[in-house]
Amino acid sequence: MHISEGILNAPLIVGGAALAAVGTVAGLRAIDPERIMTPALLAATFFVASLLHVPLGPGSVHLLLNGLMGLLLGWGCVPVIAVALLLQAIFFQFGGFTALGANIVIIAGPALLCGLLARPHLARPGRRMEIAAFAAGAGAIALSGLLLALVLISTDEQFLLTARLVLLAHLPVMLIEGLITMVVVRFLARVEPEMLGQR
Amino acid sequence: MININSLLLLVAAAVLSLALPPTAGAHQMSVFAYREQGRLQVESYFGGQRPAQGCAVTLLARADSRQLGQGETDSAGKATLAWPDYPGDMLVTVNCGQGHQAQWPLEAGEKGGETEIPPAALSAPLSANGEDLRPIVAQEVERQLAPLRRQLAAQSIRQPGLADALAGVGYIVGLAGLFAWWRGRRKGD
Repeated sequence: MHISEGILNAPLIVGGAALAAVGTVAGLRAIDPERIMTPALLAATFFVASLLHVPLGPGSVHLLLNGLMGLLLGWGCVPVIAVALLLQAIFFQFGGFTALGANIVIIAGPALLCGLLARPHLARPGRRMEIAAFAAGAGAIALSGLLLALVLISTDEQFLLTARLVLLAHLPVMLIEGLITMVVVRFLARVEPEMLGQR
Repeated sequence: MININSLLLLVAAAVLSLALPPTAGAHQMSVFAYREQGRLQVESYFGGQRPAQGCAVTLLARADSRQLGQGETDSAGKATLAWPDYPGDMLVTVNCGQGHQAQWPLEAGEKGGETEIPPAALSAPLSANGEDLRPIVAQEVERQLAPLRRQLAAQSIRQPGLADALAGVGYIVGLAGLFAWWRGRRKGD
């Protein structure tokens, strides 16, 4: 899901960076310094999770956990994902530096959207909470795949073809991430309900 | 106050799972290219292990991005291209779609082309004359050097490991501390 160096054209590089910067600043304001350990640990999880791969298809797919970030952090997920992606580019050579802005938008955008949409349904433990968590986890991956295909139209790749390839390759990831998100939310509802906005 | 045990558990599980050998580095795409018997050999991998199959290979002139050759990787992630008659720096680009692309520079010094042995040299009885032997020796040296060239080029593939993961986690903890300090200071003003 990370775009490599040398693929995007200048408007996409600049546009992606600008959008990512706005999101990061907004997200930093949303983070409570008293509770900084939660976003920091989630950043570490996201950073390392990309090394756990599902060997499938001609490309490579790995865990992203962006839906979970969005659910637990809201706007705060943007700077968290930005930092993790930057460190992945430095240490793992995942994605190019010039493509960093676009990569942040592709991964953090759907995380934010799914997180904001699903969050209200977490207010009470139960089936509804579990379905919302699963949908956020799986949906964020699907949306990221679509966004990636959309960005790649700028190269000579065809949207429908790329979208189908990316989504197909990420089907198992969608399933796994939906389940992981559901399990984590269920666990948090038991031990730390206030993290989900429950009393 | 938030109990962070569950999150700590998640991070610990993710970091620990790196200790299992085949998990690391699925995503990073790498390419290397070398000259073998007057041709350009290109090899491309995901994470240094899985061959990148069916990817478009292009050979460009560094100076003006003129296309000097193209091909496609086979099931082993390899492609063979003719070595172009071009004196300057070149760039091999392998694109696998879905935003995956990697490049390998070829410097002008790597002169290509098989040294031609003139037919006369082959038919004539060999003499100890150095000039007659030169092309044959050059060809043999070229053949022997190919595996070495490949080995050198293949060393450029670097897989992320536990040290990289731990370094990144360390940075995140440091940045979190920095953020808390910065926000705390502003609050104090």
